[in-house]
Amino acid sequence: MTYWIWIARRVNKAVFTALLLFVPILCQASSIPHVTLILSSKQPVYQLVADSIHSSLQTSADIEEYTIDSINNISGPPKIVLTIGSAAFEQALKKFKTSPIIASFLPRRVYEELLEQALRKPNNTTAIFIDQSMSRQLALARLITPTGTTIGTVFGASSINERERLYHAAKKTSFNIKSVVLNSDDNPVNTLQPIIQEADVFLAIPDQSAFNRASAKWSLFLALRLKKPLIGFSEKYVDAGALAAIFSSPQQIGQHAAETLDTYLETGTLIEPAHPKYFTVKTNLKSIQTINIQMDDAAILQQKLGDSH
Amino acid sequence: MSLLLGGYFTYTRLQDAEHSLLERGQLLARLIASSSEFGFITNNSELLKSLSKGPLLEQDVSDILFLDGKYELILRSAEFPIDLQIASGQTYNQKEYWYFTQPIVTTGIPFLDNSEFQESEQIIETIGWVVVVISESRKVQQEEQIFIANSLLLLLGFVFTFFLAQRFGKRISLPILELTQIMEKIQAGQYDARITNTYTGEFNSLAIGLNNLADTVHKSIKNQENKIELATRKLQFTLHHLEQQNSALATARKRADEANKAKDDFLARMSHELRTPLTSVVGFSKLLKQSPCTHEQLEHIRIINQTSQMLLSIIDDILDFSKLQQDAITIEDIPFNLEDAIYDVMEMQAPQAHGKGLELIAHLPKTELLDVVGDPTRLRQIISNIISNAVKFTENGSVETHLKIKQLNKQQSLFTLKIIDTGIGIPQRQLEQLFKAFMQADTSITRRFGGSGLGLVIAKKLTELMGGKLSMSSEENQGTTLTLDLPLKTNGKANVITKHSTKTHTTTIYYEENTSLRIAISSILKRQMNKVIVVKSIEEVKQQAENNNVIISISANPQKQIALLKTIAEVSPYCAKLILLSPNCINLPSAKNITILNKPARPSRIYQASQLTTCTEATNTKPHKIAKTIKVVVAEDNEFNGILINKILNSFNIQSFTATTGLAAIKLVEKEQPDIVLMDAHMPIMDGFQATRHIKELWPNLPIIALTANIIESEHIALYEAGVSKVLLKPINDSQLFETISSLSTGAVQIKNNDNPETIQSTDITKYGIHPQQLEQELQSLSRQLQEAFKTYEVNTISEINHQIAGISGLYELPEIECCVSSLQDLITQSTIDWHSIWKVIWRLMRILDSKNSNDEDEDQNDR
Repeated sequence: MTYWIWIARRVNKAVFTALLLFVPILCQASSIPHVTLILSSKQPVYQLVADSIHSSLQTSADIEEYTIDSINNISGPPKIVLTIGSAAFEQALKKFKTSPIIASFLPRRVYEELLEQALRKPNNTTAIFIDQSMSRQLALARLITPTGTTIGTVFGASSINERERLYHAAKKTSFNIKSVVLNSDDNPVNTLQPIIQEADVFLAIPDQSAFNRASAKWSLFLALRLKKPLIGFSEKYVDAGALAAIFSSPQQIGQHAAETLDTYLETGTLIEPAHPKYFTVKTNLKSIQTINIQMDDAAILQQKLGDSH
Repeated sequence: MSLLLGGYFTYTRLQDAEHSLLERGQLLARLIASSSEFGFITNNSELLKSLSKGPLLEQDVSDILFLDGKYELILRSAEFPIDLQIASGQTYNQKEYWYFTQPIVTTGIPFLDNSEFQESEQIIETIGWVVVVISESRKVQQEEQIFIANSLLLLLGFVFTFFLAQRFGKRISLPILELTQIMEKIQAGQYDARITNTYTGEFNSLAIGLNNLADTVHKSIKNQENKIELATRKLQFTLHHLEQQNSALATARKRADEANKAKDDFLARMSHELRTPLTSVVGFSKLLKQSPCTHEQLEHIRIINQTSQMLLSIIDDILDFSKLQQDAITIEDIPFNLEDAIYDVMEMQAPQAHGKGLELIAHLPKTELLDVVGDPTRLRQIISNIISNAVKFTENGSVETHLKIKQLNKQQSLFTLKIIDTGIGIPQRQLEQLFKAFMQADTSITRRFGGSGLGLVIAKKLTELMGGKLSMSSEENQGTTLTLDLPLKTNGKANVITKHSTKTHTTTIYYEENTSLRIAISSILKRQMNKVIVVKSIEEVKQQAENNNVIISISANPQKQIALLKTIAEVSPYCAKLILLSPNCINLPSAKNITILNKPARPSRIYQASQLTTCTEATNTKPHKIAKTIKVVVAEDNEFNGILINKILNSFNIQSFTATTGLAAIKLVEKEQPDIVLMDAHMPIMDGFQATRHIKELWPNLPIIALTANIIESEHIALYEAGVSKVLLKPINDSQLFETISSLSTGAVQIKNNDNPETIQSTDITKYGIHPQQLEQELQSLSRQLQEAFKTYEVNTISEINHQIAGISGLYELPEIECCVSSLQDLITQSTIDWHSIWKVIWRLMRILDSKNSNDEDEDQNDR
């Protein structure tokens, strides 16, 4: 009997010990914020952003990763939603009308259009854009053509809203803007040739109707033929022949998004939507030789732009 | 192969040319299309023109067209009319041009790092078309070049292949040809032929093999040749040995032949020598018989004559046997009557038979059935031998002849003649011996009956020559039967002309004591007489004889004859006609109504005596005259002989021309064109042998009959070899001569001769108007000439005259003179002439002639 009592006591002791061990664990779990990460797709570029967020996030958070295909698996409105890409942001706006959303890796024009359509509270949503600010791009133009006066560009139907910001930045950088609207039915060569010919530097502004693969080609063709610097908006544009480009990589955007999330998790507030904090300048040496222009090295340019930022 | 390859390569090259054209056209179109995007976008015609310039430098690029997106022409380089078919596809052929259509599309470059800036689109927009028109001229030219080049290559290939094939062919065929030539040479016997050329591969092995084979063959052949040479030498040695042996044999044979010839000559000479003196003996015995002699002398003469005849018969037998042994006897085909032949023999044997009291009986069928064709002389000889034997060995009783006919076919019948005697018979064990030469049943027989022992042998051999069979059966002390089976041709013509005579109605009483003979004669009588009363006793004759014809057969038994003669004397006055069948000329009564016929009586003679006309007589009438005149040239050096022969021939109504030498005979034949030539064997200038050969060369169908006194067989053979048709012996038998002439001359009537030719008898010269005195005178004249020649020792003249005398003596059968002539001939042909002996012979001849002359004179006186 004593033996059986002894055994019962031993079991009670073990159970108690176990309960003691699990208490801090349970307490800690209830204090870690829960973050819902939604990717536009499983494309590597989105995964790179996600990976950058994971690695750059300073705050401990429970990050659940979804794509728009699995967005319906999310049970209940999340505490905070971090979207990567335009599609993810669009779906998050539709799905989680009340949850705060940090949108990342999307053009400013898209963010603004979607947000306008969603009719959400402005302070409940923020974003880290994919595109660079006009002032940063013009600053680069100035660095490339310190004596240039005219900057040419074409706008499309969707980028026409960028015109104001361009003009504003031009003022700051003492450039005159020579722009034209290029529709998809227009002859690109005929449209682009006078702009490029007349401008000292040509700035390519992303717009689906103005810049397609053909017009990008012909703008490059004309710029090189007319020996005018062309400043692009992507790394591939530089690889294709653009003199220089300023852009942010997925990792840089992810890092900036992680910092924004940290801020929110720490403060509970969302900072203002912003262009990417981190960026890269890249130049094409062959184009430099073709145009025969004297300019700084890309790293120096990046550094100078960083200073200007 | 070249054609195939050439065709294949031409086809592929043409295909390649077309593919090349198409690829080039498409490439040009693609290149122009890709490079004309800017010009199109900028609508820069100059740019497009400049783009066209480069391709248009190509010779076959005829035109380059630029069309906008709506297929409207923007720019073209040439001005010739074309018909664009946009719907036909990118590449098509029309008329002489190829059209290559390529779209002008806008192209872009990748410039976005991700799709977030804007949607990544694939803009492939056809902004226009480029049409490159390429003329086929270059392709055609290229094709022509291909054709020409390929044709040249093909030709070259052909030539090359031809030369290659020829070279390879030669490399194969030449060795084969050379190998074949060598092989042929080896086959042809050139065993030293070898292949000297060196070939490659298997041919070399073959050549070496062939050379080795040739070596082996050569060696083998050499070995064989050596062996053959050795064998040949051995054979030569053997042949030489054989030749020697043959030579020895030939010598031996020559000697044997010579000996045989000598034997023949000896035999012939001896027979001649025997016959000549024997005929002298006969002749002189005849002369002696005619001289006044006592009975005793006459008996002696008879014995001399009889023994001489017997000796002559033996000599003839020996001669016949000798001829049979040498197959020198030929069987003739002459029509004759068998009944006559049998009766001839029976009549001949009758004196001997009747002398012994034997009856000769003949049971013969009707005479008309017995006309046959054969050799009557030899048949008579056979029958004579048999019957004479039968008579010889029969002491009493009879000798019967039975003849039966069995028709074999229309032309031929089997005649079975049985001669049955009642003689001593022959033991069975000795029957076979009888047909062997010189064998008789018992040696005592020779002593007892005499004879040569050749009779049956000769008969048997002659029978066999005629295709018949002679057999004998006998019982001792009972008698002997000889059966002669002889197939003979029946003479149809003789039967056809047979006339059926009418039978007489007079009653004829016939008496004969001998049953067999009675049956035989009554059978003959009944053939022609209606009423024949056969009586068995003489008493019956007496009773019935009155006013009837009576035939009485007198028995051969002398004891029975006496009684019968008395009865005959009594009966004869009452008979209308009495015919006596007598066995011999005994003292028979003579009266007007009595006719005496000798036994055996021929049916014809019986009928004749009964005054019956018989068919036999009708058929047997001899046509001694020939209707057609026959021309005969007679070559005979002896004038006297010539005269006789001419007279004989003329008596047969035969025209004759005489020549005294062979040469003259040839000329006469040429001149007269005779039907037959009679040729003496020995003549001056040209003898009968040479003349016969000449005549036969010129007139091969002309029959020639040789006349010779020489009985030597070799001379006869020589005459036949020279070409004579028949050899006749001197002395001349006129009937035989006539028969021979008539049988040999074309168109002449066949003659049937009833005279007995068995013994060749000399012709009665008086019948032909030649008196013996003329003969004597001729001989005397020749004798004197002989004396004159002897006096001057002229051998040739003696020989010539001797020949003349020999001819005459041979022709007129003067044996004693022949004997002298023969002796004289022998003497003058000797190397050393014995004149003394010659004179002796001439002297003897003169005495003979003198004695003949005196005899003839005596005869003449007696005649007077």
